[in-house]
Amino acid sequence: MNTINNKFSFARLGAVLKCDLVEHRWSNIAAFFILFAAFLASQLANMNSIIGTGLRHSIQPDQYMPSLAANFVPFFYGVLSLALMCAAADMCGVPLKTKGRGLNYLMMPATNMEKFVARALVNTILLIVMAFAALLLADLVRMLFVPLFEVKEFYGFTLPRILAEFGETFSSAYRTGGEVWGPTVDGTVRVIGFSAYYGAVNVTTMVAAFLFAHSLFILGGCIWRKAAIIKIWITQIVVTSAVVWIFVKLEPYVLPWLGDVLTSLFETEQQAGMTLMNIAIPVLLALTALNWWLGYRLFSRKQVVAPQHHRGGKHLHQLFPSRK
Amino acid sequence: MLKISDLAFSYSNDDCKVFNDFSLSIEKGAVYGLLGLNGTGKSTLLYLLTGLLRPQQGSVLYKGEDVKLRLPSTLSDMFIVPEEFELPKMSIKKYASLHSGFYPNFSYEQLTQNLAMFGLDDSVVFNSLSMGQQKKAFMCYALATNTSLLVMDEPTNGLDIPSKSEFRRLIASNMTEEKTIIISTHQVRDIDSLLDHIVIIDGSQVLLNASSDEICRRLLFAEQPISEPTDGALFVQPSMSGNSVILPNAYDEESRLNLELLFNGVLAERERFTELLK
Repeated sequence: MNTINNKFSFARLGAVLKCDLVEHRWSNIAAFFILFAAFLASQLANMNSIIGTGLRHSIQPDQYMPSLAANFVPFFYGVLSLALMCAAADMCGVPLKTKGRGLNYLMMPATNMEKFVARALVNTILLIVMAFAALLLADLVRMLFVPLFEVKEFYGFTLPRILAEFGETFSSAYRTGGEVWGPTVDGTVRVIGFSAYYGAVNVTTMVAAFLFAHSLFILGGCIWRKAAIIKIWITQIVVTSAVVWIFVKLEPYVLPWLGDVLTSLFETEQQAGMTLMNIAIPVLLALTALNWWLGYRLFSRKQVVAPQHHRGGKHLHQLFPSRK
Repeated sequence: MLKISDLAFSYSNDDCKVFNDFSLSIEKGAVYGLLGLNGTGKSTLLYLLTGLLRPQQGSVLYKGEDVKLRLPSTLSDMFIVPEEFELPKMSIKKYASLHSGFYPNFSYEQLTQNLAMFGLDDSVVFNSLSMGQQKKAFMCYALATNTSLLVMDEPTNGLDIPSKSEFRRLIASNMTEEKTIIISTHQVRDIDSLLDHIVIIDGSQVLLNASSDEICRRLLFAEQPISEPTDGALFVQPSMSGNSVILPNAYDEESRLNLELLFNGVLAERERFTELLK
């Protein structure tokens, strides 16, 4: 390994990643089993519920498996999103939790960028892979329970259906698109068609919003070493409450003005919404990039002991230190 | 090799700075002893010179590179053994296989030799060892990395009596002209024979920065019966046999450096010693 080169090195990134994975293997295994347990419990509960519903409402047995997958999809992506947020909040928590651990980590001969990328890969890509592996295992274990339910239609994997469902959500959004609302001959405003463009804007906005929310957790994870997830949630609640309060206070003045502006610019509300979303997408993506950049700046300035003036949220000092 | 210039650092917002306008140079090929009272910032200084803390002012340059940047070229050439550390739950062999790649001069043969000196082997798992044993194993690994700079904070704390002499032997056998070892300790008697250079600090001041040879050339350390006069002594400290004294070495006499006496003397008579060893 070339340790003289101070530029980004994939060989060193690999070595850092290997150290991270081996040294924190027990935390990763624990995370895997938590995901597995959650998926298995949800699937078993789902099977039980489907059989009950099927008996009451005569759902055909050939619909059991699609129903199981369809019910499980929101749970799976919900749990995965939550796990991604929690892992993002643990960017500095795992390697810098204690002074001893932090010392070893900070002294590791790799660039700050290599360490940051390694942490980010573990907390995103590895976690997603782990979630799918946990789902596969949960599927296999679930099938051991199928004889208890005496419904052979439950033999099968939900994983392909979940992937298909995920793909279908995106492809249908782009293919058939979003609903287009417009005035009809009778004068009412209704759905008058579907636009792939509208669908694409909707989906892209959702993805951008998710990436932005995730990046907030990355940023929080780089600010706080301990109980970061709780601190991030509290901060989000406080900020959201403040924004809502400001909005409520300003609403009598701003909304009529905004309504006038939008009415003068756009023919329909939907057009206005689409335009706002088109503006929101690059703004959210830019803010996401900014959060990652700020997170990296904070990560690369971490010290083995955080001096008091770096605690309590006074982190601007770390981001923009004086150049005396 | 290591140049600390106008360093300022504090842990809190108030004006109570651990270091203020602190400067020091460390040269290669010597074992430095870093001494100071509790709370004078010895461990903080070690963290600052390895880039684990960032100074609020001033700089720490290692071979011309700013250590706060934590560049791989710098980090792969220095190693720190802190007073308290936390090692992963794995064997020394596994740890070495994971981490040794980061250190271009790492020698596995040296590691096994060092471990053998303490009666350890590379198959033992860190966490199965006592704290003292872990420290020995970690020091063996640290020396096997063959970095140009090795920093040790209270290395003899937690070591049993035979291990302290083994530690001295270990340092002596691993020392080369290309290496610099900085040892911060309160247990001066454990390491006084090892030190080539003594640095005594007190907050922002370097009270003493001189080689052991230079100190012994300028000062004479002696034990005197209580009846013998102590006129002309730079510092006198009562001892079991009478008085331990530090005298100016006017006649180029040879004496063994008494680090404890020197430390107490420097703290009590700062100006006199500073002037004499300038």
